[in-house]
Amino acid sequence: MALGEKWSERLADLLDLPRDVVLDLPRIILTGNRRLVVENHKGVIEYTSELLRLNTAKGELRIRGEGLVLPAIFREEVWVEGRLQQLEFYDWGD
Amino acid sequence: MIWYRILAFLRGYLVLTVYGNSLVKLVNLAMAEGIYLWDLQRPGKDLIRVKVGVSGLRALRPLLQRTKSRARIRRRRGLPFLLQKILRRRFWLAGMFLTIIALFFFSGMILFVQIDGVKDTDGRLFAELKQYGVGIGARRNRIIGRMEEIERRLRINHPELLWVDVELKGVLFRLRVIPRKVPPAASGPADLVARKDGRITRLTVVQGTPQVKEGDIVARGDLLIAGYSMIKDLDGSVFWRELPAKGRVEAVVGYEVTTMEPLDLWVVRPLKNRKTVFWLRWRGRLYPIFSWGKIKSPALHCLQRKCLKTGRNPWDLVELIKDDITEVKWEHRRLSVPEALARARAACQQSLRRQVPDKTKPQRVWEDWRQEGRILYYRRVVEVVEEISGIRRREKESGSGIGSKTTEY
Repeated sequence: MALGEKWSERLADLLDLPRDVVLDLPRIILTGNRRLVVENHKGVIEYTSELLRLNTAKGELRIRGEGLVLPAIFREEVWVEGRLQQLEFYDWGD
Repeated sequence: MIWYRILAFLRGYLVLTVYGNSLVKLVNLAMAEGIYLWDLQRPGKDLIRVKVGVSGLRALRPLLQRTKSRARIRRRRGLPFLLQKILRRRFWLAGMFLTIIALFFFSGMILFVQIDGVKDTDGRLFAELKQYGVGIGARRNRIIGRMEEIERRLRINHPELLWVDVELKGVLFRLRVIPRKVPPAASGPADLVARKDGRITRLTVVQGTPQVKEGDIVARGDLLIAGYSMIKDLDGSVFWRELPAKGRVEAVVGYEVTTMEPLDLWVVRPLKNRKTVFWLRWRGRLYPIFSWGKIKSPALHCLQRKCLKTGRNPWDLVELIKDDITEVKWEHRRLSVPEALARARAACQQSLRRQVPDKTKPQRVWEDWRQEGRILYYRRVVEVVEEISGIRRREKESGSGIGSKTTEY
């Protein structure tokens, strides 16, 4: 973790600021195994009906499932629906 | 997201199938350009199915060229395309228009009239409802404002009904009644008593023993014909047998009405300034729609409110209301004594009409008045001849000499 990042984390703890804003982390909202909303992503790396790979500031996010559909896709936000099976944080470091 | 969908429907959108090798790149580029894509599906390796707005397709074209992809429009959806489709089918459109008009027209009518609670075998209630304008084909808006009046009239005209309720539910007019349970006719011993105060003019006894004679003055509750009669046996002994008293007792009954009439009146005179306001009432709140006209003094006005259209759902009622506001001026008017007298006379006559039973003719009428300050006090008395007897069941008396006991005559 870089020094600046550490300070930012401490500042976020101290001032009770949302970490996703201060540390540029993606916000992931999971509703059962049916819907996933990822905010603050950095683009799609791969998309098939079984796998969605999303780029984030911290690393790659892999969503595995069946019949994956993207009901909405914006610059900052992606909605994923289908039968979600696995969520992987790939290459996220510490 | 729902707002994007609604907006997309209103503006029109396209269902595309995009073929190519760099489809993820295309999606990322579209995101970066701010093109809204939705319902993205990947049915095959080299194709995606996506929905995009009409304006989005124009922005998507250069990106398709850059990623060497091809797009094919599968469906055109949304309001503009729907309207286009509808406008092409003129007969369908005309049919739909006529259907809506017919629905609107017929939903404003009463199509069913139902009477619950009593069997209207002779059709009296139906006939009476028809008199009030309620029948199949009658306009709902003409009935809505008169519901209470219809209910009241039915209550007055049908004393045999204990409870009456009218309800307008959609195209159904429902009359619900509960018939009054009349006690069985007095079969046991009963007396005839006076229902009103009066002076007896005629007494006809069919059964029982009279307790009054013609010319007697009776008060309410006084015994007129007692429910027993004397039977003389052959051996000279007498029986007092209890029975239901029967007969007719006519008496002169007086009705008195007094009223006071002011000689100074403040009368409202409408002025030319008028204002009309249309409101929409929803959930108990009034929202102004539009208005015209102007009134100078908002304090002095006369308001006439009219409900133009009432919604049918009572929980979430929407009403269209029209207010006609007329500016008025209060004017002082001094009445002469004859004028005030005429007004008082009319008021008293109206009051007497309600009190005096129908089918009776006034025998004597007299009136007097006096003036105290600027107020006229008026009194009117009417005497009519009417039947005053009423049945009162007799309690069984033991050892009173009445009944099976035999006494010496």
